[in-house]
Amino acid sequence: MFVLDNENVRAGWSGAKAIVIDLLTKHGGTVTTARHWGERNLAYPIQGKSRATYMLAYYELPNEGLSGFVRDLDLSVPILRYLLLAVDAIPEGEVAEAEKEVATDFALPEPPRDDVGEYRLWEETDEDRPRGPRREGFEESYDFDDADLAGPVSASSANREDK
Amino acid sequence: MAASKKRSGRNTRKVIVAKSQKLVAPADYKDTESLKKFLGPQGQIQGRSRTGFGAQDQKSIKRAIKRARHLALLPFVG
Repeated sequence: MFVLDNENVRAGWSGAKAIVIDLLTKHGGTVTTARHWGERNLAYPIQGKSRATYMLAYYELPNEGLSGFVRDLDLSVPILRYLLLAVDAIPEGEVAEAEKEVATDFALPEPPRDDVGEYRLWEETDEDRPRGPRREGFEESYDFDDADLAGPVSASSANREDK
Repeated sequence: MAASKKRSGRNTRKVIVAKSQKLVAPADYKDTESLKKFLGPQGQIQGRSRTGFGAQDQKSIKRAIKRARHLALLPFVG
C-alpha cells in the first residue's frame, strides 16, 4: 500500500501510478496488480497534507532489490507513506479490480483541493500573536547603554564608592 | 467473620465487545470500519478483557490497527 500526494494524482493517475511501478521495475520487481484504492481524508496530517490517494499493489521483488526499493521510497517526495507486506497469495477479485483501470473509459474524479497549504490547528489571528518583548516597536523604544550592560548597582556597593 | 468481597471497579465496567456484537477479529488493516469497533474514545486499542478475544485474535487486531495507523487510516490519538 502506498500513500500518494494528491498533487501528482491531479496531474494524472497513470503518471502517479507509474512513479511506484517505475521504482519497482528499477529494482528488478514485476508488478502483478496495481490499482487506485481511494482518495480520503487522512487520520492525521502527513507533510502538511490532510488528504491523499491510496494505491494498492501486488508485486514480486527479489531480496536483493528490497533495500534499494525502500531507500528510493524514503527519498521519493510524492510517496507520503508506504507499507510493504509479504503475502502468500493475491486475494480473490484483486486482479479483476485492477483490470478495470486498463479500460479506456476509466477516469477518476479530481481530488479536492483541501490538502493545499500548511496544516494548522486553527487560523492564526492578531489576538493569537505572542505578547511580550518581541512586540512590534519594542526594539526602537529601548536603547541599550554601556551602563545597562555593566549590571545593576546595589546600594551597599554605591555607598562603598562614596567613602 | 469473613467480610463479603466486593468486585473491583474494573470488573464491574467489563464490556465484552466481541461476544455482545458477535464480531470476528479482523486481520486486515484495510478493514478500518471493523477495526474502529476495537478502539476507545481517544483512539486507544481496547484490551483483551474488553474485546473478549483470545490471544491470537487480539494480536491480529493489534497488528492490523498499528498498520492502519501507520498509513493514516486510523488515528493514533483522538
